[in-house]
Formats: sequence, C-alpha cells, structure tokens
Amino acid sequence: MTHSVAVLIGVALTVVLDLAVLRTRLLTRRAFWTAYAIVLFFQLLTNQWLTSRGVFVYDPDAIIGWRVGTAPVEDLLFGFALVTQSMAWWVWWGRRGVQPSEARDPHPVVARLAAFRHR
Amino acid sequence: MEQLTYAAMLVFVLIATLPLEVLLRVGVYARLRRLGLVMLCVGVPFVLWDVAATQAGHWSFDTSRTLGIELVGGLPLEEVLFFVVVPLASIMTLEAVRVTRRSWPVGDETRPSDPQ
Repeated sequence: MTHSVAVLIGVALTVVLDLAVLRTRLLTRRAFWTAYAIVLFFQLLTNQWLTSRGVFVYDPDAIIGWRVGTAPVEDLLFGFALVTQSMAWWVWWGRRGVQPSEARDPHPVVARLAAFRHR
Repeated sequence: MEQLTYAAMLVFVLIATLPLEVLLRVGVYARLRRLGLVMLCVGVPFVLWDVAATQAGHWSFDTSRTLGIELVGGLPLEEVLFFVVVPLASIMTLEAVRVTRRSWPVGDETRPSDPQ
C-alpha cells in the first residue's frame, strides 16, 4: 500500500470516528473548522520548514507527487486526520466527565483589550 | 545547528501556543489527565502508523537533522514528540476558538445546572 492510499484510509476512518463512533460531530461545527483553518496555516509553515530542509525523505513511488511548496499533498491529509482525531477525543473525554469544560474568562488584560475594541 | 532542525519546529509550536494558556486561559495544560487520555487514544495509533510506513520504506528521516536519538521502530525522538506536540496545539487552538466565540458550541459544554 502506498502512502497516498494510507492517508485516504486515514481520513475516511477519521470521518467515521467523529460522526459515527465517538459521535462528537466536530465536522459539522463552525468552531472546529475555524480552529482547523488556523492549525492548517501553521501546518503549512512548519511542514515547509521540515520538508524544504530535507528532514523527511519520501520514496517517490509511495506518494502521488503533487506538492504544496515542498511538502507532499499527502501530508495535508495526514495532518487533517491527526488534528481532527485529537480534537474529537478531547471533546469525547470531556463529555465523559474527565475534567470537563467550564466557563473560563480570559486573562483580565485580554478582557480589557476586547472591551476596548468593542467601544 | 543542523541537528536542531526538527527539534526547533517542535519548540516553535510549543512557544507559539503558550500565550493561549497564559492570556486566553484555555486551560489545556491545566487539564493534564484529559490531555493524557487524548495522547493515548491518538498518539498510539499514529505512532504505529508512522512505524509501519517507515518500515515499509514510504519515507525515512535524515538523521543529520535530528538529535540522533532513535526510539521505537526507527523513529527519531522528535517524530514521537510530534504526536504529543501537534495534538496539544490542536486542542489549544480549539479551546481558543471556544473562549473567543462563546456562541459556537464545541459539543462538550456542560450547563451550570448539570451535575459534574
């Protein structure tokens, strides 16, 4: 099996995990896609750093060959699976009552800045 | 210095996300038990996937650009830490969105009246 096939299976399993197994349904939530977009930006930055410096050496036969910068497109899907599963398990354990989410206010300095902005 | 290439990326991610804990008070470092369970549920399958792909020859690591510490299945230390650092940063980002967008549910909210 090539890496290309493996990441497609990985993404499919991630979707099933979120929608059907854990039923966290993050893929239907605006908060998730906003957070994912932010993480994706940093993934492109850090992965460019690593791949342009040759930290990873890919077998050309294992990947399809499309690249984003110097990073194989497969890395985007791998990252999507890792990030989404991390968030889904976080929400799932929270729902099970493990250190659940409670209302937290930002640091007073941040709160003051936010209030200032909205004036 | 070249040996720090991968480690520097991990340190960058940790430093870049730290203000979320300190200033936005996302409370992810404050919930280490929940974080640890996520690391188990995500880290184990992804490290196994990585080991399998490395053994299958899909990719290899240039060890002149890592610290040179090799762990399970031929993975450099940094590659294993990647599966700690990235889930941590992802969760902190999700929590930061929650803190700044109160009306966007994440799915694990408990109402104040709910028993904990």
